[in-house]
Amino acid sequence: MNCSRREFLESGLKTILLAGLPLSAFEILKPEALASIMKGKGRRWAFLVDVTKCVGCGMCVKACKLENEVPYDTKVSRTWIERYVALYDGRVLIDSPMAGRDGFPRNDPQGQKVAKEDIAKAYFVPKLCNLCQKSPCVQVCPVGASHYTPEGIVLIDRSWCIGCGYCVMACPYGTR
Amino acid sequence: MQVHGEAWTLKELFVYPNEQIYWSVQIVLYPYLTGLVAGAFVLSSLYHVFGREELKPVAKFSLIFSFVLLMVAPMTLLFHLQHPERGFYIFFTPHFTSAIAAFGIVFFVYTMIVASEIWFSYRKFIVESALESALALGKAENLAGRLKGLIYRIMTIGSYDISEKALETDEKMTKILAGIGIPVACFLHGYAGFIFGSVKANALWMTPLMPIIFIMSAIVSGIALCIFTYILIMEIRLVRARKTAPPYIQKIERETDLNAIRTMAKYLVFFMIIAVTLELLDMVFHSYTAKKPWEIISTVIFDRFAFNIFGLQYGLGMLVPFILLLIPRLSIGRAFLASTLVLIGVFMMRWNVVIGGQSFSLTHAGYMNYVLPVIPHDIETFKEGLFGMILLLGSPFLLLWVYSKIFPLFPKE
Repeated sequence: MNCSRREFLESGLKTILLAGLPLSAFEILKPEALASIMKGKGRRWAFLVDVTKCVGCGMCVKACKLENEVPYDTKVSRTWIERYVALYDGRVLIDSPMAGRDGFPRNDPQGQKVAKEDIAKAYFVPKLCNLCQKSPCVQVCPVGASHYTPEGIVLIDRSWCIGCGYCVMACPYGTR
Repeated sequence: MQVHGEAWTLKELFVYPNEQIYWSVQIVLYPYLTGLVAGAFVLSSLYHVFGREELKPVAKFSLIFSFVLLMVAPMTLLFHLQHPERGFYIFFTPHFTSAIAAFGIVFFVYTMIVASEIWFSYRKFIVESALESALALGKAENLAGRLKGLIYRIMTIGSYDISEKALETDEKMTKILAGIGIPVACFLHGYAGFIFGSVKANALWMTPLMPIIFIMSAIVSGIALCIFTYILIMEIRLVRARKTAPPYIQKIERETDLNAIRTMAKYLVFFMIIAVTLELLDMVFHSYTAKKPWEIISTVIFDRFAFNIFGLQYGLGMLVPFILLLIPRLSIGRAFLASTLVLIGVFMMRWNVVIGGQSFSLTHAGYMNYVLPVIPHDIETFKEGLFGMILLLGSPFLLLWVYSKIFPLFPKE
């Protein structure tokens, strides 16, 4: 075959361009990208919690359980409240009975009664699903039951979940 | 009401409400069984690809055993899944960012390779048996015999050519398939390691070495299982032969090929050295870099799981068999003992990785203990308890017996 340098370079360039074309088509045809082109970006929700204001009432735990149909009488919950009681002797008592669902009506951190004058400080920390933007639970779900909604919320399609537990392992916050 | 995992998880100190030992004994068995699959296949490939003639007596047997184990390995996953009836979603709607989603592809590719390798290497036997049964069809024969003939005739897939040239092609195909099979087998198991090694949230699992560690211990366990089962089958045959032998025959020798066992033992030692080196390297790396979670991981390794890791996994499961195998003039009994210990050791390795990795809380301030359910009180404690474990550990041997009715494990040339 005869091929001058010019011809070689020309056809090489053409090949690269032709090969690049279908690749860029794939880029456009990605479902999310296509949706954003057709519908515009749409609304994305954010979720703010001022943890310093938490009084440990447990209403958020109840609401989360009822709204997301997490079995009410189990110890597990996607939202829970931790009670921290730091004592003057250096110990820190942490607990979350029934995930803090019923609030903390008694003075019984970790089942022991603590005298008021021993407490250096005490506070509640609400913990929730962080609805991560790049969430590990969605990444590892083998069937796509964990998914993002277009608004940026992370949800589980319960009818599609096979119960492998990989999301439980992958969640760094222990909310699964 | 109990959620999954509560029945066997004992929590200590401060643990988040959602944390349980979610992956229990079936997930210990899953990498164990896929490891045995890969190991047995590599052993048979040592003969088929690399031409180690000493391994010829066990080459076909280990190939069949690999296939049998492959049939049982996904059962562990079905036993573990909370919705086993939806398990096939993995094949139909795979979500490819997940390591588990590749399971369907890897599993089926590997099954096809092993099945066709078995077909090519047994083709002469299948055709001969099919022809034999076709000739005997007219005669009165029992149902089992007819059924067997039918199976053989179906298995020929219409190819009755056993000329010299065709057999040569068979041999070539076996070699090619065994060659392709090695990387695929390693992938099948390496990816089981990847499932664990890629979990960012778990400091004990998170290491790029995990797939290689898994592959090496897989080969170790696979070779050990083949030694174990080979010796066991030969002993059973000996006992049976002695029972049925006519009284005038004075002595019946066992057919065990000591040379093959010694060769297998050599490979076993070789791969054991690599496996232990990698595992210890991983541990040293964790402790030397001592990232934040090391504080709690070290209490798991050196305190709570110390007996499991250093006593059972490394001591009884690696060091003792290592010495037993290295003492010169390896006998059958010693090989049997050593391979049994290696099997226990590798099982403990899987246990320590899977259960050990879940035994500390994300809070770094609490622990979870796994209590294996012994007496089942519902379906869950059966599936993920002692009985489920025994069922799935025993079924490969049962299946091997069924397969041996169709494929002779140790054909005489």
